[in-house]
Amino acid sequence: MSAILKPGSYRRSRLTGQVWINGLLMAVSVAFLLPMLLVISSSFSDETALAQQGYSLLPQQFSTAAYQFIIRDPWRIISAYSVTISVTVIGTVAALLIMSLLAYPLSRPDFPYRRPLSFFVIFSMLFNGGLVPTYIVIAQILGLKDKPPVLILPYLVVPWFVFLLRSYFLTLPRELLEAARIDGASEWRIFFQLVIPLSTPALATVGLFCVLMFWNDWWLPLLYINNPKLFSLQYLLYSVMRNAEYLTSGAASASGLTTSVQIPTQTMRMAMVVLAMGPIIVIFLALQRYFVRGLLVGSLKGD
Amino acid sequence: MLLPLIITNFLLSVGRIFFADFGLFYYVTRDSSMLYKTTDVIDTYVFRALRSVGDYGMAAAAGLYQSFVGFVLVVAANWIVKRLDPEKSLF
Repeated sequence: MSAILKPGSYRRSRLTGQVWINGLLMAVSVAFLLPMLLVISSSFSDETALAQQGYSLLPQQFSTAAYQFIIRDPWRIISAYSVTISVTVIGTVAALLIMSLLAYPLSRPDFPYRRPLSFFVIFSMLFNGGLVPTYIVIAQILGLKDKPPVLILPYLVVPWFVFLLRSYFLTLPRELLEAARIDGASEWRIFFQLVIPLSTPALATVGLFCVLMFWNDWWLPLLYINNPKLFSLQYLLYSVMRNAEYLTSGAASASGLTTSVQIPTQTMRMAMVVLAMGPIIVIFLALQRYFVRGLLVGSLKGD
Repeated sequence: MLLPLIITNFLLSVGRIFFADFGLFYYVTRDSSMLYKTTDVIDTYVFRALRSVGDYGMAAAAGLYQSFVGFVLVVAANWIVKRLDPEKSLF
């Protein structure tokens, strides 16, 4: 190694820079991976061993009791999965469509109501009435409480994403749109056959943000959902955490009634986390490939 | 090159200065009343007043206060940015 590298100061500073950067990135990725490993290993541990020895990076007394306990009643997690997946898919497609339909006119200088409309979008980013008016509008005026659309509608337009899309649309060459108009294309056709295909990098970025936003959301079900059939995955995690605790504390006080069933509270919680975590990692890795490729395509097309 | 983006993000997060991380303060403390003295933030207070106590007026006032102070701070910060460099201000 040192034979190849001349002891020139430039080379050496470059090398130390590389070492620093790689070391830092490694430390950061270890910091991200360790908690995940901890969760996975403790989900496969034995409950009593976990209670006695605390968490560790390798499973102590390997057991799948937690997973068996969950599989005994799998319908809750399956329904939570279907709610989360359908909300994510429908929500992302609808949000992308509506946000780009809003961002495109904002990017057009010949749109007459551009200033009031963009003020409207910016202002909602800067100021709102707080939680209570939002809740009253959604739950009482619109009557959306305990209805599936409530998990999608409040997140359909995120002002920040609208401006991301708008600034991308601004970089599209105007001559292209004018040429299409001279060739007789309608506005709808220009939008769907020219602007949308040209904006795949921006749409992929915003789409990925939307997927993560809808998938990770627990706030809307916490506020608006009481019906267990509509629990999303993240909210199910929370309610199971509470329920399992409730069950064990009940069993402790009324001993004799439920002593036959040992509930692996801790390990079950971890197993739920693992089950909730698995697919999104796969989806993210699959999406990320397109995401990076989309960004590269965008940068090459910029000539 | 990154400065306009940094300024925009700064201005937007100044507006969120009175908002805490609701998830952290609600889930980690598990909403236990013994901890309210030290861990109760405006967000959890508003949520509790809205969902469990039912004190709509107080919750609405606290929530409006949060966004109003945030709005004033954004306008002030934007004014300062405008004084320093008129091209980089948000509005």
